[in-house]
Amino acid sequence: MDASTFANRWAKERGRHPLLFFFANRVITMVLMLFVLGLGVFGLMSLAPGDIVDNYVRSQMLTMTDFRSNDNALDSQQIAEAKHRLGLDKPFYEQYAHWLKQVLVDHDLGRSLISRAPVLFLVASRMVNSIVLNLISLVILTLASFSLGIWLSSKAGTKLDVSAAFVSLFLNAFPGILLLLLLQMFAAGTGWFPVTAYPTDNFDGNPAGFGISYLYHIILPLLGAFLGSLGGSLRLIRATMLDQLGQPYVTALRSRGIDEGRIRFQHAFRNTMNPFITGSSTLLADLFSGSLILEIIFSYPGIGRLMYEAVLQKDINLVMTNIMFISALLLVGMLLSDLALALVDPRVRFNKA
Amino acid sequence: MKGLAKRLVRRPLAFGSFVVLVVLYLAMTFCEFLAPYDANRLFEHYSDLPPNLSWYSNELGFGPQVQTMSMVNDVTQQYVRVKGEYTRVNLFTQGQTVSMWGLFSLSTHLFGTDFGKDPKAQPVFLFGTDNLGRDVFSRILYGSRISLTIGFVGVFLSLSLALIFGGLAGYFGGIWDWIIMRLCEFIILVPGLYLILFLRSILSDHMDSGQSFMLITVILSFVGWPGTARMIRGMVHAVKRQDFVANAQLESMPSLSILFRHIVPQMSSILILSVTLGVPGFILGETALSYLGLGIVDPAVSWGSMINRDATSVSNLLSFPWLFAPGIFLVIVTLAFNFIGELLRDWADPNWKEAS
Repeated sequence: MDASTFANRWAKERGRHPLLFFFANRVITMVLMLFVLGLGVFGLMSLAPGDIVDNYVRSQMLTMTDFRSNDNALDSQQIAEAKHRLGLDKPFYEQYAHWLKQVLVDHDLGRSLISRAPVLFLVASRMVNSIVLNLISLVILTLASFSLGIWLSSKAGTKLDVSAAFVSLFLNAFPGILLLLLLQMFAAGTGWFPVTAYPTDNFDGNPAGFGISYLYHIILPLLGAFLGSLGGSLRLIRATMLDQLGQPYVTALRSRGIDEGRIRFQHAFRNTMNPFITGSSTLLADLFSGSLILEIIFSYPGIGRLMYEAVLQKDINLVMTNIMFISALLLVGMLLSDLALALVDPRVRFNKA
Repeated sequence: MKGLAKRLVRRPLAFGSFVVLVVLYLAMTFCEFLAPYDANRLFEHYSDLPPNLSWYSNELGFGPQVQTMSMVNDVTQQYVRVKGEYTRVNLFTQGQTVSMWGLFSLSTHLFGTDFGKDPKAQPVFLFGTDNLGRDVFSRILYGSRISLTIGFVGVFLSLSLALIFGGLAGYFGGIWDWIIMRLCEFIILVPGLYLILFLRSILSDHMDSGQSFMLITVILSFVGWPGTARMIRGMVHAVKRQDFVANAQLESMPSLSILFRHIVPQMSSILILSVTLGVPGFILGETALSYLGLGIVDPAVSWGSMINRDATSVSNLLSFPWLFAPGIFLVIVTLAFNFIGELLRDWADPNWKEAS
């Protein structure tokens, strides 16, 4: 089979299975990107001055108070040994190759270099916290913004609508950090809410009590996250709804005497989904990643803070696991949102993948 | 720009925001003159002093004046007002000598007291002082140098990158498009915060304030450009199918000048809009970085670093609420930019106006 017949065959197969080829193309690009990303992370890590052993030695020297009993002082040979044991004396691409082999062949994500705990355990335990918080916030936000947005679009032009538009602009523009700080000040000032976002009770002893206490603790952080993103999504929903309701097909439906509520929900609303599906490509990744500022302000044990500390301490196993996982989710989310767009919108097809 | 000024005057909210921003940017320019003290001047016996300007007393009558305060508890830093001891606040006083724009020295300030000359006189603190006894008002003015310019510098950088890459990808298409779009996706893929942390930790050793300011701006614009580049690519795609582009091509104009002199000006209104909406993003980015301790640090001052130093512990804020003042300025500036952006959106995008 020479080159031209192969090309013909290729084009023919591609015409026959557009979705398959689209999918394969995207997956291959994804894997390549992830590979380059990992190489980049290792490269950046080796560019940064100092490594985890240096950091450890420095902190030991800072806490060393008794200089006479220097039995446990670290000499340069021990430092070199520790670096060799962790593989830090090799160039970064060899470290990367070693990490890839460890993950792909041995199915082992390694241990955190700081706490010596398995990475999987650390990430999983923190991620659960982040997912729970994100899920609750996402559900509330979606329900509230869709119902409010659709309801407000039926009131377009009234005073209520104008003031709602102003409030959502205000919320959209308000700095998130300050909102969280103000909420925390409110909690501390009134004493009605705890200033930290995680209960101190034990889950195993008393699950129900823990649940209630948990909900009580996360009210304020949730409120902060909710108010912070409500403005933006409300504006988007209202604008796209009004855009759809002004289209000729809505007038045609109305002239046939179709119920207004049905027009709104079954026709206009369905067509407003497109920008949300495109916008939700990062949804999957967002669900699994923490919001660092919120977690720091309310000292919530989520994945964001774990990663922040890991990056600062150059705990490479932990950093790699999380970055690769989140990036893969981001790519999968982009792919899924493209597919979902095709399901919802018949105009989108994959012929030109 | 036709009709923009008219629209601005007609919309009180946007007009008010415009005035506020002009005032703030003027204050930033002349901050050496407007601020009564240098940003790092320490008033040893006046730490955590509440705002002390008042307008009336029996002794001095109406007029700006300062009542003497005396510390009663040096653990909780509590002050009481001293009855009957007032210092007059004068306009155009001689005070601390500072270097104006680094060009000439200036000792006249807009307002101040005879503190230092008269042993009984008290210094004036419009917004109180922080725990080292530095004037919060002066620090806000000096800090605005960083906080207010970072937005424009950053937007300029990221928009230039986005215009060049997005324009090239959209106009030439093909392999260029593929490479640039994969690059954009890659940069979007890298978690922005971690990239910032990395770059900051690589480059952070021993930097002065100017360098760290530039570094933060560059990092923020590097993380931010791909999104805009994708938008610009889409618009160039749409514009390049129009007849005037085909005409220019038939006249064998060079591609780059078609792109940057004919196609890009078509998008000017959208670009102005994205500048206006991008500026508060950069200001908040600087705040977030400074909040994490990765941004501006002492002795340089920005609103973000002030919030990080003084406004992050709850007990601090409850006992010394005036330390939240930089936060209020931050809110005012971001809201003002957004209100103007709303007006510009109506002007730039008539379809959006129909929708909203």
